Amino acid sequence: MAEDPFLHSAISFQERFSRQLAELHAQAECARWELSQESFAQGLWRSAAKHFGAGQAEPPEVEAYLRSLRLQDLALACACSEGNERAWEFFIAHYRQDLRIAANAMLRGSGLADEARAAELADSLYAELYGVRSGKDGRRKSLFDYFHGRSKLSTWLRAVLAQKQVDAVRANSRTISLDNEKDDELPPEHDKRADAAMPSDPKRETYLARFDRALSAALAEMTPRERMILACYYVDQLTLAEIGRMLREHESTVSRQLERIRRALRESVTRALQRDSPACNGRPAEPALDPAQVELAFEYALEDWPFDLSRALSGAETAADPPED
Amino acid sequence: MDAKDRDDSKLRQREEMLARRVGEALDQMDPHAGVECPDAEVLAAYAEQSLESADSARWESHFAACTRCRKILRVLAASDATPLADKEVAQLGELVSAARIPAETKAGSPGPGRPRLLEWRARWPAAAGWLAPALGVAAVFVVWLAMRAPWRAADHGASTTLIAQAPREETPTNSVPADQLSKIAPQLDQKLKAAPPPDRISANTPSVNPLAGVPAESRAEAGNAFKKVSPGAGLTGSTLQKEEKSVNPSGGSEMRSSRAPATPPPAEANAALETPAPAPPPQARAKADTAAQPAPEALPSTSQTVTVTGAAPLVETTNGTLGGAIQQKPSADLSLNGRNYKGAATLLTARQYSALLKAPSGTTLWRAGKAGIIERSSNAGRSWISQKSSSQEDWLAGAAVSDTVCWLAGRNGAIARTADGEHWERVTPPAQAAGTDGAIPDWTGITAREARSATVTARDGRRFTTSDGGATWQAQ
Repeated sequence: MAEDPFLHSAISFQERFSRQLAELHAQAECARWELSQESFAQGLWRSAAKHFGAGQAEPPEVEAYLRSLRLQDLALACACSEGNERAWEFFIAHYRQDLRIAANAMLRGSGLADEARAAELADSLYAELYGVRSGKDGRRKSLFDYFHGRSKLSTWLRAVLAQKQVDAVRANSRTISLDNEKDDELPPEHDKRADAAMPSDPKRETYLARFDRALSAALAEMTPRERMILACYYVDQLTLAEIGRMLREHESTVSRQLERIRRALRESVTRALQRDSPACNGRPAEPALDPAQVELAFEYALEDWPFDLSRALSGAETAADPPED
Repeated sequence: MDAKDRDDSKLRQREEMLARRVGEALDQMDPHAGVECPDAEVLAAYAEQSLESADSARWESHFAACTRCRKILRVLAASDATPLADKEVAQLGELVSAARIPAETKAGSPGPGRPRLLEWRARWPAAAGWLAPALGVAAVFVVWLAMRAPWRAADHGASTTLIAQAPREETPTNSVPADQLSKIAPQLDQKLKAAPPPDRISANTPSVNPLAGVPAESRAEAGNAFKKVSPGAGLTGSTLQKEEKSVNPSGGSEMRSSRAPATPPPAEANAALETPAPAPPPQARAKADTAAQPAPEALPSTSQTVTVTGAAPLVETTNGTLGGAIQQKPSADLSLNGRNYKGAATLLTARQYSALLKAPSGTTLWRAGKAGIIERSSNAGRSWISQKSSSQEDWLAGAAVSDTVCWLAGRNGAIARTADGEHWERVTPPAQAAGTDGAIPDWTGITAREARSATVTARDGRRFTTSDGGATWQAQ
């Protein structure tokens, strides 16, 4: 029941799930770290509250969620957050090396690999993991409190590290601009010159506009994953193998997908151009283009390089927004 | 006719152009249209593919527009060892079998698998961090495989030689390989522990080298400390460190050395190689050797030599060389990764000294150990002068009270004291400590406050105190 406020506070959460909590507590082997059921329940509550927002969930749903968590990892994180020594010992023994290896791999990615730096990056997490006392209530706020058991602890740690590393690099490139990644620095005045330079066909503008709308529609038809692949390939200029690694797919699969996406795009745009476009938003209805005109539209679009992206974007922005929202 | 059908490359070009355009449009989009970047956990769960599909799709549409998140995911993926794991495991399997085959068939040949290992290493630089320990484990595994056969045959009496061969003073050194081996071969570990006479080993491990039991890191620290005070140890330490330096960067040599135990090349095995039978068991060797000469001329007769049946042992079991291999080979040849050279240096040097005692001044040191050896340094360990011991028992513990006063305690109730820093006198152990058989236990610990008062701790935990220089003792 939505009005049941069991997710509002740790106490009502504990009351509601007391039976399951005892079971989960045992399942998570909390005893290893002398982690009390209350503390563990706190952790679970934090996780559920984060996941479901404020109380908008049915108890069975929440229970299923709780059971899907990586309980043992969560227990370890809770215990470490509490400062249990055995838990820390275990954590250091089991994760330190992995973290260093991960840090090394990350630095190698940015061409900065060296043992000392990797160790520094990896170890930089420890202070945060241990936590600093916040001024208000004097309680330590440990980074571990942000772990909710939705992934493996090791992957989470790597993600935190990756975030740190990427943000550091980005901050660097923003201030010094050493980096010629195109991340944040696309010139806004991309250009309108192409249009001005080629005033040949009076229909050109119309065709281009239609073409852009068709493209936006095609973009909207794509799945988020397809869009992501496109962004990885064309924006980040990753190799197929890199994309495959990211998406846990084989590079040949990525290659096929990319091929398919491209073909689908073309077909979708062609179809849209060959269709009557009804009047909308004060724009007059447009008749279907015949194959020759479609051809021409493609030609214009090809010539129109680099694209005036803003035009496409006006459509794409709404189109590409996730339909789930 | 359709132009697109006619011109395939044109088509491709268009598709490419569209895709690129869409990609760039995505780049221009605001990823934060109502959505914050996900936290590390979502990214981690996404990378693990453990997000629900709806969640996954929602975040993917954010990722499509968010360079930062994509980059994090990419870095995350790059630091992930698992995508390689399958391949690596497969390769490792190959590696193990590659290492094993020569061990069985060409025990004498110097490592045909080596180039392959190096090549493998070169092909997977990214896996290096993962690889080294794994190879270490593989090497240990191979060693274990090689060792297992003779141990199985232990019932036939071969292992008694083996066990007897274990050099006593090596015991502390053993703890290095034993630690590592135990992970893979608890059996082996038990054997190692059981091998030397129980009182010896148990007497040795806790006290002969107080460092043996502590974890590697603290051992390294202890190693450092030791190095500071002992030039001998320092020397070994530094040479070893050099070795470590020269070996580590290349990486390849790590393989080489780690692989070595896989091919124990006993001379006999070489000889045996000349015979058609790959590795005849010892009982059949004589036969094989005699059959070896006629074999080349009369090929059909080789079938006679093949009467060599039964499991071919991988190593020589008829003599004690195996004992040497267990004791020294693994410790010398184990993967460098994870080995603690300083610790090893300390162990090697310390093996005959079980007690290193530092007087409060810091400049006077004693070390004592095996067979009553006592040495004193008055220059913080730069040089050592041997001192005459009052006992030939092994010293296990000691306490330096000042530059001139020191107590030592050891096996079979031995206790000694010096009051002038030069001469050691025997102290009568507490009679009440004697067991029913009259034997006084080993002392594993001693504390002393001054020349006349000290407390000794027996192996069984009993403690005795004297305050009159050992004339009388009180049980505590």
